Amino acid sequence: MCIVFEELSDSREMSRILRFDKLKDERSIDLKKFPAENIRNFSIIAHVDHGKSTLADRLLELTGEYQFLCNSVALIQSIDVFMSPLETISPKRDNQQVLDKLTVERERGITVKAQTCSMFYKFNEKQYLLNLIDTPGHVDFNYEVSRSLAACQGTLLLVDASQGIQAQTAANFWLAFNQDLTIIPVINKIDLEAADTERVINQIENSFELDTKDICRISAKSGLNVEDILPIVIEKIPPPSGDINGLLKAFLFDSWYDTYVGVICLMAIVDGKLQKGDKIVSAHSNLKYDVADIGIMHPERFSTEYLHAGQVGYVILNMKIASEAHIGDTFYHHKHPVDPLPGFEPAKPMVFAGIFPIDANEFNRLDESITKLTLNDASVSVQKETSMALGQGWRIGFLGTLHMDVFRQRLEEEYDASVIVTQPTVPYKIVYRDGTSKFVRNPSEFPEQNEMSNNVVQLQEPMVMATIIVPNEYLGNVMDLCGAHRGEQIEYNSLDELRVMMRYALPLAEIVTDFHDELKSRSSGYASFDYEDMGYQTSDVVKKMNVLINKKPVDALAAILHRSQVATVGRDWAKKLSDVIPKQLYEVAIQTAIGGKIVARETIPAIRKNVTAKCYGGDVTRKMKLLEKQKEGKKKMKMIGKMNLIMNEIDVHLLDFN
Amino acid sequence: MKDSLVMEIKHYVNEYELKGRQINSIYFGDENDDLINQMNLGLALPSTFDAVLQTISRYCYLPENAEITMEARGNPTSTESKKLAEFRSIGINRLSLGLQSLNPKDLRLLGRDHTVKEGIKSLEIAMPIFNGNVTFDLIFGRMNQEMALEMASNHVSLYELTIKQGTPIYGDHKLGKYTIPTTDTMANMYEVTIQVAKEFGFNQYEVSNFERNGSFSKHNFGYWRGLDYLGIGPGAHGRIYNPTTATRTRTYNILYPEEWMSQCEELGHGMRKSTQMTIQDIKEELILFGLRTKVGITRSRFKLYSNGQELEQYIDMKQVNSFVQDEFLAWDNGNDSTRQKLDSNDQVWVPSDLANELKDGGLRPTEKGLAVIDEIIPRILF
Repeated sequence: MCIVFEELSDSREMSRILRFDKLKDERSIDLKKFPAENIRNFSIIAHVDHGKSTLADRLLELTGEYQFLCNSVALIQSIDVFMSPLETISPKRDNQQVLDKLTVERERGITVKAQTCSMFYKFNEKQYLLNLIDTPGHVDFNYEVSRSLAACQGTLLLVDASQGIQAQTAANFWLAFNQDLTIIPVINKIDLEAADTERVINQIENSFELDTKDICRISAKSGLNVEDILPIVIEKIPPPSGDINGLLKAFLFDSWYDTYVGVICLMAIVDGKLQKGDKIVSAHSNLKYDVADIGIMHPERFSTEYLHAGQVGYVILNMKIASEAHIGDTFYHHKHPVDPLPGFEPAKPMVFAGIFPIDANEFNRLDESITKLTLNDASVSVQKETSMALGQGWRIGFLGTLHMDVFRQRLEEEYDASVIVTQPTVPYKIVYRDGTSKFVRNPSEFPEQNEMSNNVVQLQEPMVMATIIVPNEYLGNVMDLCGAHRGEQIEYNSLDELRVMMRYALPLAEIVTDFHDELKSRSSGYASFDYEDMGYQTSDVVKKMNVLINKKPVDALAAILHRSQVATVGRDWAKKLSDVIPKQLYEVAIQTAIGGKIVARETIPAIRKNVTAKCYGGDVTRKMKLLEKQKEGKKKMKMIGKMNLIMNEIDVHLLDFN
Repeated sequence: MKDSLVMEIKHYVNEYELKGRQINSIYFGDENDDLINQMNLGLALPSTFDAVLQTISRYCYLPENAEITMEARGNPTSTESKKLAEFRSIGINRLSLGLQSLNPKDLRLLGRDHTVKEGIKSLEIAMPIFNGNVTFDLIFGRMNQEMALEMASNHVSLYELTIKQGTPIYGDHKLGKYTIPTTDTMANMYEVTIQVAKEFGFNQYEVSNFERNGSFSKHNFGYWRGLDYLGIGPGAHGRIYNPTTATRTRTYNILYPEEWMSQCEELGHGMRKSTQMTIQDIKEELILFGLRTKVGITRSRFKLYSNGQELEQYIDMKQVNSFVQDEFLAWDNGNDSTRQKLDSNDQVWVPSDLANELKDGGLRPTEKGLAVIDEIIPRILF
């Protein structure tokens, strides 16, 4: 058990632990005691690494600490039963970030799935219920961010004192601003040597026109001035304005799947009351549900059996199918319909990739795993797909490439699946001569050269508007990069004397692969990037590139490329494939081709020798074990012609191909 | 040691009902054979070997033509003329010499305690004593291979150097003291070895075993053909039918001589573990070993060990046909009209005892297929 609370003295530590151990089971919270005016719903928005999760942890600790600090040790015994459940974060927790629950998130320092937490806080002799609504911190999850923000009345705009405003800061600011949220700027990491707090305050004033007179200057890491934040939250952010006696209107802003209880919904109660046992209806699907459990996140699920207008918590509705929980949906009491809240949009995946089991026998198990994962993530679209080369699989649509990586990692880590993920592609719109059009989400459906010239009048590709903030010295590099990715500069503004904010129209296809990594490497990590959807634009310069192995096209390796990329990518792919495909019993020819025209060719010579030297009586056990392993390995191989591809080897490199 | 060996033989003869069984071959030696280690140190006496052979021939049928091989190193102590003659006189009729190399640097590298000169001398001494029935081990792709083949009798084992974990050379290799040749170089050495051996009239009848004039090793073929074998002494392995369980059993003896001996005294045997083989194990093992020999796995032999299942029902014939087409394998279904004629060149790899089996056909690797057989076997098995 690790306890890291540097500020407390030893004796205090000990009494905390005692208290915690004794009282952990006796809990009850009466939410009826918290009318809307005692509630604040807020979020934290920030660029990656500006300290959002650390600040959230500090606030959670603080609300636990507060209860302890404002009551003397002598009082503890008498108030325990009431106080202990109100302690938001237990002393057992280390310095780890409670809100970021996925491993992937911890590794990357980003928050993918929003995790929300309720805190109890005493201010001016009044108990407040503060709901910190977490927002996903990545550009792929714009819609989710906007829904999480819609459940709040205010937000903390957290900016790193040395890095200043970054692209995501700006993008999130505009999202919050457009929803009329109260925005409270907070400068973090002011204790860093490189901090330039005054400059960052100027940026905030100039770019966002926010009042910075009493701006919070904190260090979430050391806890410096963090205690100033919650009083400001209470004073500046308005309480939710719902009508507790009105008809129920509940707003679903997040959901995930739990192995034990099924789909868990996070809802903000806008009007009315919601209790365990109530029957409610989804405005989007018209499906009726019983409320099986309801409560707050504290920080884990804590059943209160009741929530009313202004409150935020989890609701378990025995939803069995993932896609039943639509982010942005409105729920009302059965037979008492209300107008749904505005802003609902069905999920719109923009990056598609094929996913195939490495071992075909795993198909059914993987199918279940994917279904479960989609329970957890309603923004994923799933369609069965059959590939000549890879067999049965799925074409899965993601909100972006990070979303895809997260999905794949969760599939591998949480469901122990081995999968092949093909090159991601964006949906192209093909307009035919006869006026019809279709969306192509898979390179194998892309019209071949002759069909292109005969029947297709127009090809459209999805575009994004990118915001890039970059220090002046890297400007040239970044502009070159955007140019190389068919970017068109739309706006150019000096943020201050050191940095520039640019807006570029870019084809989505150009940024789904390694654009972000390239941007980071060309700017020594200083450039930041965010984007929003800007619809479709005509593009007559994309082509389908086929990969042929021993003259046979491998559908799963086909890619849609811009004309200018064909020569380089064609050569690169042939080379990389020849490096990763293990030698076979036969010579393997790898070709990349556009229509009938070969772009590049590589040859892998056949294996000449693979035979164990010694094999007598004593060697047999070892040899038989090896054979078992080889047979196991054979299951993982996919035959393409006479070639056995050990796909997981290839796969590692597939994603690096552009 | 002598008493324990005799005791263990008696135990297994009773346990596995081996009384009166005919013996194909006996081999004294193996990697962990303590008897051979002692002999190489000049400690083991011919009388020990004699007692063992006496015991075997008392309970089982040991025919005149049984192959009785003894392993020896190329050092003077183990190959002293008088001692070798004694061993010969008690019935040992074949000698296997662990020469390893005729290159002084290699011998040092391999941690051998004999010199090149001593090795050659041992061979010269042993040849007349065993009527030329002497085989030796050599690591291929090293210098003086031709010289060795010139001196050879009618059987040699030519191995690729394999670096096993736990050996000093493995540690040195890990430290980067040696580099392993590239796979292409290895393939070249393998091909050259086969070619050079051919020039000296030697036929590769198994991956690493070469013979001329019909001097196949009966003992090695015993393993490959699926025969029952008993492992006696510390660290020995066996594969034998167990009448109690009515299945084939693998046996594993205790590795350390002292422990093995004390258990022999206590229980009458030094076995530490035995495992039942499934019918699947038996079939796979037959194919695995069989396809490492040029004669391959015959249909009749497979049927004998598979409860009557035909070979073609067990293996993936679609794959086999494709490998036959590409000349990695040869298939003969025993039907005269489709039989692929064995040319005179092919005949040489068929030991006379097995010639009869061939009339029902079977599956065998070509020379090209044998070089990559580890790739092929997993693909023809389901």
